Amino acid sequence: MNLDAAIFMFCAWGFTFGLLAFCITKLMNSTDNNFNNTEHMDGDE
Amino acid sequence: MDKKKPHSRELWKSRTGLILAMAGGAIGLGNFLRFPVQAAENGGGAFMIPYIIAFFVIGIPLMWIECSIGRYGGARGHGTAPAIFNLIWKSPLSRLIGVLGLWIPLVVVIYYIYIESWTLGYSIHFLLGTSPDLAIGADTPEEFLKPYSNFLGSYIGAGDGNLLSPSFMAYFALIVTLALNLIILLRGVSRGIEAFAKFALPALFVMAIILLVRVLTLETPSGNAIEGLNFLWTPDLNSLKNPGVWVAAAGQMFFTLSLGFGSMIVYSSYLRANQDIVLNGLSSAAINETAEVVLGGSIAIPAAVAFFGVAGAVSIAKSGAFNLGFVSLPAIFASMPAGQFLGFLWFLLLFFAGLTSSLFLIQTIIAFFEDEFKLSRTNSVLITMGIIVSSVLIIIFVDQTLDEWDFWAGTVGIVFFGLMEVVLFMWVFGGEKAWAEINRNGTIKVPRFFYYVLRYITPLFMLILLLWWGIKLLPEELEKTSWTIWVARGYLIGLFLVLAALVFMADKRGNRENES
Repeated sequence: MNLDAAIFMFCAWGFTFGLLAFCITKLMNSTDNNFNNTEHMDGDE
Repeated sequence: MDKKKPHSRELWKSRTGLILAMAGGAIGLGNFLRFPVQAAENGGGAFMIPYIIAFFVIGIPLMWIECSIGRYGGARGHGTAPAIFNLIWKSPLSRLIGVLGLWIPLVVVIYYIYIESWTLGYSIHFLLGTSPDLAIGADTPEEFLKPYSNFLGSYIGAGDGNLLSPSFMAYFALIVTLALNLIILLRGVSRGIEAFAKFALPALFVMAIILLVRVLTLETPSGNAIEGLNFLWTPDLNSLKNPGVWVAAAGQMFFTLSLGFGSMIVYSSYLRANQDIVLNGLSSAAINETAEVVLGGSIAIPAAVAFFGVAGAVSIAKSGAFNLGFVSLPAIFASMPAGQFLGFLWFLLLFFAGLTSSLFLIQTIIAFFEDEFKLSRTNSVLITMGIIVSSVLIIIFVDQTLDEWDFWAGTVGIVFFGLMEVVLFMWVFGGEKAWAEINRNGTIKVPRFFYYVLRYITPLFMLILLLWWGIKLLPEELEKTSWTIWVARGYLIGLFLVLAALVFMADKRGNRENES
């Protein structure tokens, strides 16, 4: 594989995997974000 | 005093389910077919520069805006654009603009569900071994692909006339596809869509990884997949001087994240008011990008280069995403050892990608009937599927309808509606109020820099995109004057008028209920 193509491909892959890793880390460190109930009503704030 | 029973709305059961359902809505056929063709035609690796910029100035900002609008409306009992836009801006015009948030997903899903059914039909053909024989000994890629190109023609029933006569498998696969959508949707948001996304997304990734490994280890007399990666990723930096490349990247961002359809608003309306949209939106976008850039970019084009060399792959890429998916790829997989299984897997992968997206689009119309007419889930699903089934007939039988609808709803419509969303939320609702709404209960805080992006840069980029397409594509489109085109346009106008009438009827109905 030529160097230019490899640099661009791995940068693009790095960007997507990096973004995914960032999100997974943040999700794992957060609480369940209030996903306890299965129904809500109008004006539920 | 209001004595009526509060309208109850469903909610996502888990955060994982919500993120996978949103990612499933975004991941579609375009991730595996449209993206590699766009990258190959627009500068290879260099395409990623405008693509990543578009991700930050259009993709993610619009994702946050749609999710915020949806969560805001959901907390007030409304999940679709017409009613939520009217909460933001009390005006009949806001409702009329909101009609586009029903019209676009309805029009798109009518033709999308038919294409989705082709992927199922093709996967059944591969499973049963009834896909065409290979043109062994063919000298050119065109000759090699001819049996598959004829096969597609006979599948959809293309002929010399304006009317199509599809094959038995086309009808059968469409009925099964419609039935699967119906069954999942009848089960509801959390028990149907969410439960299916939890199974379909991991399955889709597993299938894509199996195909990716097979493609990357391909060696043929014409070349190998590494040459394909070279072809796809070698940057042509001069292409960045071409504004068309930047427009292509911005357009791809709309398609890939399924933005401007109004459907992300509906999915987010099933969130509680105190739940995050920033990290949820970003996470589903990240899953979508992985499917597109890593998996989508490493299957179709590298396989085409391995079989036909760079020159052959260039002509395949130029023939478009449809040709790549339904003519070139099946022929390539059929030529490999275990080709029957690989072809089956390829189309099953596309079918899963399509199914999660059609559920996403159909749910928008269902939510409208549930929220605004207070119909039961079952009745809402049956009415919506009835409209789709009766409308899909025009796509099946009348030639050119699919392309015409894709232009007005799936190309120009989504950018126009996306622009309206940004203007209404960031300008009419108010910049600071909108910013607070986006960040409310966010698991992560959006950097302030994005406030300016959301308010100024995103709408500017979208306006440029709309003008560019308007100037480049509209005159060419309006030159088409065959009777089939006018039937297609007439149907589009009819659908819009019916939806607009329903929106205003729902408004009157709501007003009467409030008064009583």
